[in-house]
Amino acid sequence: MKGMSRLFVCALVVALAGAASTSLLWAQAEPDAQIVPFSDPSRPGKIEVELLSGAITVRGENRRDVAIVMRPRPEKPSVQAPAPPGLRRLQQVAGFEVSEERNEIKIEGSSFRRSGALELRVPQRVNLELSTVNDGTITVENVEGEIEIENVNGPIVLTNVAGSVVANSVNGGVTAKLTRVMADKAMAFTSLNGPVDVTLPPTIKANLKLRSDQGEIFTDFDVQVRPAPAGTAGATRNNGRYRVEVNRAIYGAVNGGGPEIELRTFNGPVYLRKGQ
Amino acid sequence: MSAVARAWVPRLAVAAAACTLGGCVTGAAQGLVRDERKESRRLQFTGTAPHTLDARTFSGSIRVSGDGGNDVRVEAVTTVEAETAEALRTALLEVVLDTQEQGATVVVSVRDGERQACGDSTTWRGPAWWDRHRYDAAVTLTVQVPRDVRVRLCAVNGEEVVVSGIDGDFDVSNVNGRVRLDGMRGSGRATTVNGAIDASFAAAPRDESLFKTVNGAIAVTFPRDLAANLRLKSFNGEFYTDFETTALPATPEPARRAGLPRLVYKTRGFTNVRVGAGGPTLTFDTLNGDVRILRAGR
Repeated sequence: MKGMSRLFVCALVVALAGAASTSLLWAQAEPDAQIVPFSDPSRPGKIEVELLSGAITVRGENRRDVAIVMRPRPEKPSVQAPAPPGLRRLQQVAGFEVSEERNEIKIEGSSFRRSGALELRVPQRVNLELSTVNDGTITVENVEGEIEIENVNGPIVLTNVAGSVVANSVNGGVTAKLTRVMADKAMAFTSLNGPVDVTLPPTIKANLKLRSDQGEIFTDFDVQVRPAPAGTAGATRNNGRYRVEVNRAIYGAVNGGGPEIELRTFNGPVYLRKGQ
Repeated sequence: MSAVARAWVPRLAVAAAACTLGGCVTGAAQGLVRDERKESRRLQFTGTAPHTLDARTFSGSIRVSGDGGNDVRVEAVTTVEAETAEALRTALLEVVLDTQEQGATVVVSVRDGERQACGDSTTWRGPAWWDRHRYDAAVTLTVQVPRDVRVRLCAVNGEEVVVSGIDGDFDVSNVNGRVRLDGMRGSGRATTVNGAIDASFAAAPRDESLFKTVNGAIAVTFPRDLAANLRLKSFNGEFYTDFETTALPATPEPARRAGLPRLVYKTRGFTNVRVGAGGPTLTFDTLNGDVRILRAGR
């Protein structure tokens, strides 16, 4: 018995030392980042990012907390007055604020004038709601969850993501590679002035709605094209004029149909690709 | 500090009003009684080093320079503008130069009618309106000290607070006026509200240091071998340097938000860069003005 307890103490010491060295390793690996924990790491948390200017990169890792860092970005010299002779301008980094409440981490950048590249390392299973306006790409890698992304003047690039996605950019393209999808969730990948390029799992069951006003639509899926559902052609009467608008989207089903997936842009091609 | 500053502003207003009532069309302060007098004192440090000079005035500049001497030589110039001769006499009785040798510290403080000195508690209320000062007094302090002292200086309406050739640490505050440090070798804090901060270092600060203003530019010259981490902030200004720098990411720091249980982190708007191999954190903070970090001998 005595031997047992000594063994137990020994094991405890080794375990503690192991834990200490692991956390030390983390600290060394991320000297620049601020680590923000979720209040309940056993449940999937949600991360909401709202920037006015700057890029957002989110990478899923085997971890339970979130590492946050804002890196400086090269500024466009054309918009600034020249530096005094012999001096260089130091580029200013956008400030931001982070808060955590009820398993939701919220990151808000408050500056239109200063930009930066926000980098988040997150648990692989997490829900995301990301938005920016100017000067940056939104990139997400290796994340599974409900993903909602808004960009205005930049592209959206999703790689190796799973779950459900709603991604919309105004003046940038939307590129997404999904490895798995939630069976019952509708998804949308939309842009106004950019290409939409989406790769979905080959076995996906979905009802598709594909539309490009000024471009073409390409796919390697076997799409069973269907007529537009009832109610999508609208008729209006205005000042005695009768107007019928026929929805120009292509409707179709893959693998027998399922929840709706919309790929739409105004200017640019739409690609729907079959993943591996 | 700001409460003290506010208390002194009405005196200027009163002086201006007196001028108007007196009918001085030219804008010159006719009708005001003026006086200027000079006073010199010599003080000794007795305690063991480090020795500290603690100098304070409300209105008026402070100029401190280090030299090879081993005592403290003070010259105080008191300038008074009073509404009446009676008020002038009151001013000269009330505004006094209070010097004390407290071992390792020499205190040179200008005290007003309420015995307050710059930097004293801001809960002080000041005289009632009917007991208001009918004068405006400024005391400028010029102090020579041994080079190796520390300096703690406080002014409110000082046109300038100037320190030169001091090897010790510094803690310098002004409110309505500039701060200038020259040929420094210590670490410390230099702050003002409405004025520029200009500083040059003969040796790089060994410890963390702060240069902070609200309305004014900041320009600091360091030796060429500077190794430090710089934190820079300006709301309406740019940062310039001729040092080689490495950009560091902005890292949010834990912040307390009263009454909320949630965790909050803020970057506080600082841009971080490293000079050389990095070292003590030097913070430069202004609202309206550029920040320049300059290499000596450029």
